[in-house]
Amino acid sequence: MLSNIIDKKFIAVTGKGGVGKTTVAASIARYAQDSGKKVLFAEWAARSQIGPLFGLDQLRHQETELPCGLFLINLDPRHCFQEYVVDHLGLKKLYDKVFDHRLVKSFLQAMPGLAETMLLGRFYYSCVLAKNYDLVVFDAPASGHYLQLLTTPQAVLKTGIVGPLVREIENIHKFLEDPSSTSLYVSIPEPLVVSETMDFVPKIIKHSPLQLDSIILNRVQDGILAAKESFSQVGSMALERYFSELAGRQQQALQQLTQSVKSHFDMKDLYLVQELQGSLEPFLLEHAQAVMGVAQ
Amino acid sequence: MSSHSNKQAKFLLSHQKLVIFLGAGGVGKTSCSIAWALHAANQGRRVALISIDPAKRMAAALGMKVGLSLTRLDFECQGQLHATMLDTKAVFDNMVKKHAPDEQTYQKILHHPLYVAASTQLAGPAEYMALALIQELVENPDFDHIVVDTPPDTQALEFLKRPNILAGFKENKVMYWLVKPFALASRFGMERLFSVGEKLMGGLTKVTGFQALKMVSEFLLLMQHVIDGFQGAGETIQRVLASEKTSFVLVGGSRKDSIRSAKVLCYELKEMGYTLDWLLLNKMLSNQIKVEVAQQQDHAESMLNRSFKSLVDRVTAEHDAFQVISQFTEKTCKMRLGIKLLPETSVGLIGKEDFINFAKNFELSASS
Repeated sequence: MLSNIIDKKFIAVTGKGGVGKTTVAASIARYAQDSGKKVLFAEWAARSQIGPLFGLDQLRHQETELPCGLFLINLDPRHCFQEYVVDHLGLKKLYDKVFDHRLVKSFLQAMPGLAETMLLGRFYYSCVLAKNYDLVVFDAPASGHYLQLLTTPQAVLKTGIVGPLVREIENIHKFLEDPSSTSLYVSIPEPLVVSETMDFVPKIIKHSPLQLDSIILNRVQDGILAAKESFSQVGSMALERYFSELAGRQQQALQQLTQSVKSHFDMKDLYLVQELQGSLEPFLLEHAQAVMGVAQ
Repeated sequence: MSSHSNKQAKFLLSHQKLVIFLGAGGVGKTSCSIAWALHAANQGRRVALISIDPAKRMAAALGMKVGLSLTRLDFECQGQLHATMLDTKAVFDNMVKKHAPDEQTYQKILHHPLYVAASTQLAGPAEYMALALIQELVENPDFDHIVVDTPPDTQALEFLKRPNILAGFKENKVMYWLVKPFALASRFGMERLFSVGEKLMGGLTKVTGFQALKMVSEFLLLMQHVIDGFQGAGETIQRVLASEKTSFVLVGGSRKDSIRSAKVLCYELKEMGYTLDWLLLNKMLSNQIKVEVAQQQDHAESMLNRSFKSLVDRVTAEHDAFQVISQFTEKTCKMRLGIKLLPETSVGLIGKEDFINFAKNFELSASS
């Protein structure tokens, strides 16, 4: 059952752009929250995706509680860094005097990998150190950038740099490797997307410290064949053809993924999620339940 | 409208040097940029097509070998089509070679563990190198039309803002005030620091540790000429992006997130002083399907089929998307080429033949 995943502490949701990562991540967060957990739903976006989904115009780097009790945040790595120095190291004076200085800001802004490290660090602090939440769900970047993000701590560790900051990065890396942290890969039954899935999932299994829990095939439709039959009988040629092609694509996607799961994906679970209907804004509990496969 | 925008498409083809495709994930940016590049090559232009998406999907989409250096694609056309996917490390190495003061420094940088990490695995430089590669191609006399496929929206913005990232570094003379004094002082193991810069760096070491900051500073010092070179390249590329000869093309779809993304990209491009010229609404249903959906509404409702309901949702979404986008762009940016609709292809685009067919959408003088 996909719904068992809410017992984890940290879940990142990735996949190709436009496959419904945000919807799947939102469903997990909303469902977990409804099951009595205190949940933070996070994103890292120049413009918020998850805010509008839950009826907010804007969402910034500030934990924002929705009427339903779910917390949202749009993480900004610069603020993550500030929180790290001020809240966790307790060095507010130092932060104001040194880190807020324009010279130092320009210096830090140009440091590759720092933003990614601080972002991942924020999850470590929320989940492990501060223990403010039972679960943090991260609507993560698309496949290519996801892999880059998750392998940043390793890349920094490999340089041989030493010191207190590097020890923190080791902790962050351990947190990501821990079995209570996990990830999901979302795909849809379209040829290009499935081929990217077959390309990326083995890479994620191999390189990401965050283990992959399962693959979700989103926007599966039942009733395609019935629709095709029905329109064929009434002589709607274009519709018959539309549904016939749709059926073919879905069938092919399912076959390829089932096969890959057995041979290349270490037998990860493959969950099928039905296409949701109507508007998803605002995002409702019933949407979440449908995705999680617990709809009544 | 179609014939109008195809006339305008000729403008893009014959006058523009650099065409950059942007859009949300899943709208078909890669497909549209490939098709456009094929179309341009077919019309006799010497085209360089580059994908700077780290997801490296172009080769799979084309079903051809697309390497990490420019390779001429086997494709019969009036002009030429070369394609490549961004190889961050190669471009980075090249930049270092170009700007390092001597061979010894070049070798030292190349083997420095921080350089190895930055040039292969870390995210920031990848965007920067993409820009460097674009600049290189624009200056290359072998090509007269450069087509760029970018990563999904948020990341694309990151990359467009990248030229500025080192601006603060230079303007504030970070190297002079911060890095140099500290690197020199730390070389002698001096832990008492005197100047403002040294004191600031001393403060930083309370978080990073002394050794870590020493290593980073020494590396930056080693890189100083290269960083100056990057800064210069950043300024040049910004001019290229803002040039009259550069067009941004936004690809959108009918899903709500892609509409939202299109709006944000319109705004942001304007803010940055770049010109959005054309908007492609991709994967649109054919008119025949829309007509039959309307005809069969009653019949379909009686069969309570979820797949049909999804199709009806899609028809509505497309209608709304077009309305919203045309009103929005009317108000915010006067696109020289307007909006063009592109049809959904029957099985998804895979392989050269599919793209050659898809590229015909840019030729047709009228398709309704």
